[in-house]
Amino acid sequence: MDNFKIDALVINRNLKAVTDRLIDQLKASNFFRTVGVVDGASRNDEISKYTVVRSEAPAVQAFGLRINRGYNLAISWWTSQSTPSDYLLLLPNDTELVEMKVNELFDSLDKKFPVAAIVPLPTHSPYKEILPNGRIGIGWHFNEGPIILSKDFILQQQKCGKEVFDPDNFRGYLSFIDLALRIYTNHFCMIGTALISFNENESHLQNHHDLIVTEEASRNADLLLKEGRAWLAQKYGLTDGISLENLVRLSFEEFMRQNPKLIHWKIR
Amino acid sequence: MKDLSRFESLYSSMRDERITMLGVGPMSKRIVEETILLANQLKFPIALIPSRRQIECHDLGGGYVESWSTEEFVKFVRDRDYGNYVILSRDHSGPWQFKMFDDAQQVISHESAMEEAKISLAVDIELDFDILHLDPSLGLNLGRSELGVQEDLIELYSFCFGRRGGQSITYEVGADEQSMVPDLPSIAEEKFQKIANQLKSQNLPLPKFYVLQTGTKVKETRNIGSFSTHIPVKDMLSPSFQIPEILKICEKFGILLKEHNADYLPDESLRWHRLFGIPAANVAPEFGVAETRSLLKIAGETKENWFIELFGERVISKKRWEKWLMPGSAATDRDKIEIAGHYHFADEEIKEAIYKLESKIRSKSFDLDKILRKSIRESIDRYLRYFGYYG
Repeated sequence: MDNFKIDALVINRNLKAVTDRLIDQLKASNFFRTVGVVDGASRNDEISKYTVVRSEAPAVQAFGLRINRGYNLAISWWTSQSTPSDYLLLLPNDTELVEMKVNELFDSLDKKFPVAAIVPLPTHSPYKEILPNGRIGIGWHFNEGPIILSKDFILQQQKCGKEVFDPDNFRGYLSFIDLALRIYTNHFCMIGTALISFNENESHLQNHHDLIVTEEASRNADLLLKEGRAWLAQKYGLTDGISLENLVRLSFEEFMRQNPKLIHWKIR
Repeated sequence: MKDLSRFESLYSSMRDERITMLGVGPMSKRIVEETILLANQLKFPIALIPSRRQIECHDLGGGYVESWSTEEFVKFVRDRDYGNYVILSRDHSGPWQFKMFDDAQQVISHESAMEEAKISLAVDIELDFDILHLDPSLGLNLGRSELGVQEDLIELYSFCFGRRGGQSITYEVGADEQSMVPDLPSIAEEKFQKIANQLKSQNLPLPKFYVLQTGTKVKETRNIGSFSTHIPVKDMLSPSFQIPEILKICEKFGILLKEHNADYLPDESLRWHRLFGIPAANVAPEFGVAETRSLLKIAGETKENWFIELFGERVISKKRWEKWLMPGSAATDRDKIEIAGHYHFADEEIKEAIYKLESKIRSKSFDLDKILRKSIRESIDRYLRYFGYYG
């Protein structure tokens, strides 16, 4: 395959050294055509030299971008480039890459799947035990983290006038479930893979939450649920997350019924 | 001879309406009585699910609940269950499930433990239990291999099925320990396929119920499994992904999922039982804890502190709460008393103390029995409501 099928953008807020280390690792892999940083109003001495786009809006200065708005800013910048690649890898800067078999991933995908998103799995993900061939599988329920999006899906969403990630879901509550609903109802699919794998370095959130301008971990979890439920009620009129998950599961099942040839790739 | 079609038709009407059958741990005499009343009022089956430690046959010495033997317990239930709505469902019958150690504190041999399990099961069959859960999984903690445990299961199944009356029993199997996360679907399928193959080779039918992990785990007075969480947990798959897949596997084999350890699940998780279509779920310690809390509360409110002290000393000193504590637990003495109080309701000294308390507070216009029954009923009722027993 062409090594330069994919670009990568990392979200940073006030963690220049950590971000630059991750960028250097991505660059050294030689898998990416463009590698850059999306900055959420970092203070001047914490802006990465690899920064390609910044937001300094007052709300971003006060609260940061967080995952959904950060990813949206990255997508917006990426699609405005003259020749974006076929895929875009988005990563929070607390990602520590463990496995990077990018060529094998794209070889495995071939033309079989109408891919909207590929979710690299964390090293301890239980999905790894049940992934078909231990490599890739089709699923619908993935936790938030790094994600690869296909240009086809991004452009389809932009045609609808939608941002890929809901900016009103500030903390990203069930963000990938919300995304999966649009993926499967638009006849795309979502892939989980062990061919690219990572760890989330939680020490940044634990030790530097004041620098990143976020809340400490347990407060963050409380707010994720509280604000997330408010978002869920407002957007869908649902009172609990499992209702949304069930809706997505049914859309996924319908997709699988319509694509029986893909059944062997189903994660189960 | 039990009328099997009655059980099957009662149960199938529940399945038609997608009602989750509740299994209630008989933690006390009052809990047993309230369960019988509720089942008959609602005219839907509720299962009583005695473990061997709770209720055991006379020849093996009886259990800790009301010091009942299996014979006495079954008579007590059948005499009061006028509409025949109570399902008697033995929970976790297998080697070492009654006693792990002998009088010299040595682990009971495999041979003896299997022999005792068979004595217990034979009485259950003779007394027309509706469901027998065969669970030899404690052997895994005592050096038995997974294969050895599977062999024990087949031996017990074959023993029961070969006895007179054993062919009309509904069987439940599942040799898993409770886990914070549900079983991975394809791995659960592999495990059951192995059991199915072994049963087939012995000309034994598939069981009706299969115990699989749905992400429920009870510690202290909480459910700490993934089924009770409402935010994604790192390294855990969501029950909304796994449970529907597990249910599909059960459907493929023509068996039914039985959930264990559903205690203390939040209302939302209970609501999802019916919507997912979980056929049956067991709840036990929560009801005993509800009764104990109510007992302590009324003793406190009526300033009968002598009772709290006496009861508390007994519960704390006997240490039945130990197995329920989280590692590094911050549980207070009061928490421990609430966790394990119900183990001691039948201790002679405690029984007398409860009678004394009842009589003393009656003079202050409190009806202890009524208060305790109300708390038990409310606790059971929460499950019945969400499992679809009402309307």
